[in-house]
Amino acid sequence: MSVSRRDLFKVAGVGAAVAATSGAVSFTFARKTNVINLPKPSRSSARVVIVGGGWSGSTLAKYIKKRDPKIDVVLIEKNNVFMSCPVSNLWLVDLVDLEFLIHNHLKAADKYGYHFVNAEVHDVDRRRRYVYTSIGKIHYDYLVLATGIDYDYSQWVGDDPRDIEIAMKKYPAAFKPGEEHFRLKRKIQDFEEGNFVMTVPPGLDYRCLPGPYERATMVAWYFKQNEIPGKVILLDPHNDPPVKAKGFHTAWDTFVKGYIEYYPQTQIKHVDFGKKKIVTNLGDIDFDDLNLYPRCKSAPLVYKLGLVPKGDRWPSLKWPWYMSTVDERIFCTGDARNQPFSKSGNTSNSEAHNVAELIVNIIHGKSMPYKPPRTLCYSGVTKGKAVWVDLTYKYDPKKNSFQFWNVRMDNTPSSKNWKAYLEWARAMYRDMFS
Amino acid sequence: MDRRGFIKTCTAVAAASLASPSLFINSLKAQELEFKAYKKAILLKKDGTSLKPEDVDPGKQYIFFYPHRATPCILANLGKEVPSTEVKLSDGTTYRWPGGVGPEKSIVAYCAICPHQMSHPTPEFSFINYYPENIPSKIVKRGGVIQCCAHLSVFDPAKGGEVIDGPAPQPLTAIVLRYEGGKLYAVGTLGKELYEDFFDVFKPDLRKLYRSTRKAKKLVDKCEVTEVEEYAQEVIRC
Repeated sequence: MSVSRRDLFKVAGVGAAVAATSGAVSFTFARKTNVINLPKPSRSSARVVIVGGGWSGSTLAKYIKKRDPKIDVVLIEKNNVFMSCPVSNLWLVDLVDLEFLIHNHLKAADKYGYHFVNAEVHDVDRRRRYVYTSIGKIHYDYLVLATGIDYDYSQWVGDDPRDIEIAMKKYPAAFKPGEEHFRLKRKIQDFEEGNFVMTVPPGLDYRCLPGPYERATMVAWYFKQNEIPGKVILLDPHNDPPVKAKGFHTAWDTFVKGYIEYYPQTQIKHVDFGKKKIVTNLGDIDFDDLNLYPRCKSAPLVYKLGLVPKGDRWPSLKWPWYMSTVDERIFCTGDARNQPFSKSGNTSNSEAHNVAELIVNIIHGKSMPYKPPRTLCYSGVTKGKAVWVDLTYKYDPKKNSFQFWNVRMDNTPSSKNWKAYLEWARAMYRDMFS
Repeated sequence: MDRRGFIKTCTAVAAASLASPSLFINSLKAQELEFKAYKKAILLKKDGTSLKPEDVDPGKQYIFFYPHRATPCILANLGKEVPSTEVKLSDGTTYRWPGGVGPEKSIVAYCAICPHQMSHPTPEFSFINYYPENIPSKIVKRGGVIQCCAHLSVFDPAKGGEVIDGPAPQPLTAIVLRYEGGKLYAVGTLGKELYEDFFDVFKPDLRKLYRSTRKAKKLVDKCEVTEVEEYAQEVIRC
């Protein structure tokens, strides 16, 4: 499977035609906005604007420039510092310090020559190809939405904005790094006794498949370590953890026994914040504190641009590539896109290497063979021990579908896996920010 | 140099390697951008005497630092003759790796900085290691490989360091060795180097070990060879 020259012409032609008919529909922002003045390598340089400086966007910005310094790359990120979601479960229980997770884009932007714009994107004029931000507008030739996930509370909490606000402020999911993580860490530290309930979203399209299980395990370890008379109650709609199940069960049966209760096949019907109760198919479960991780959906900007089909939660993409089926000048990468790829830091990073190559090839009118991303994912299961799974994906062009491929794992908790886990992360940060 | 010219050079290098070491080095130099000569550095044992091929145990892995004082290399005896081979980069360019050295033509050396994300041996840990036949890799279920456990990249030391498995985008940088008068020398590198990024990224770590980046970058003319298990507190295998 390769992207052909014909496909590329379709990108330029059809994409422009689609944008001309539907772009204005999503565009609502004022037209008289100052242009952000950013120098290009040359007047003829193509410009790629990337929205979102997480694992996907940060990697893309660097590697497009590494592949072709003549392409102008603008990375727009609303946060003014990068905080890693991978490894944050270890930080929540004081096993790595904050500095391990925090990084900045400025060194890589300076070294590789991309622009870093600390601003929020409000809208996109697809017809004229302008991105509108809180500090002005900027023209693009290609736009990448690496905007990550948002939470969909409709399934468990309902549509009442008061309830949603309670969920977000009082019981944050903490899978979008920043404020939520700080809030959750304090809740873990403040917890004195009782049930600390955690939830796993349904399906396989939530961020970090093993993340909720790792978090539950490490928080249980923290309670045990600090002799807190409480336990973690993990409510899971799945039959078992979708990945590393054996490793997690080993931890629950040995390292944190008595500090965690696991309830598989649990369908959450409703969360009653007033009564501090979760209504499930197994009955009502009381909580003293809660880490509510609901179903995920693509970030609001992806919806706003009209890239998400009605009734769906993710943009429609031209698989196996990453262009929107609505506008082929727009790419959706990282956790902003749906399965078939797991939403993980390593997947986003390796995928971004491939998408950087794809975009550079498109700009140069060249073809390239399809390359799947790969995922190496570690999980801590107690202090100093970890397990891992490693896999890639196989694309079936006839079915236009993917499957896990070359799956390998080590479900035996070990200290060497823990050390490799930390080196995995350090190396990933190097790849994005050095 | 065009493709035809390049292939001619590779063929010439292969032929030259059978003739004499100096002719071989000159031929390598003709490979565009791929061979880089550094100071000729003798490999030494811990006691300061020259390392002999028979000192390199096929069941072990060794570390030395070359061409800079702080850039680690893996030395291994693959236990069999390792012929010259062509190494291909992802952009399609190729270069000829000269093969093993020593009386059995079985001794090879590679830069121990992983070309994926630069994991390398430190006094604390060694994540990238040679797996002798008696210590097979769990990833590819065999020995005779170099593997990095940070992200599971696996390389073939018998094929110029080419990538067998994992995410590494390019082969290991080869360290070109010479065997003269019963002694082993490092004379340069072959393949894409990572030193510029290495010195940029690990500045604080290198300052701790060598007091300054300038000292860490110093080119060496002799290299002490140590077992990796002696150099690093912990060898992480997977």
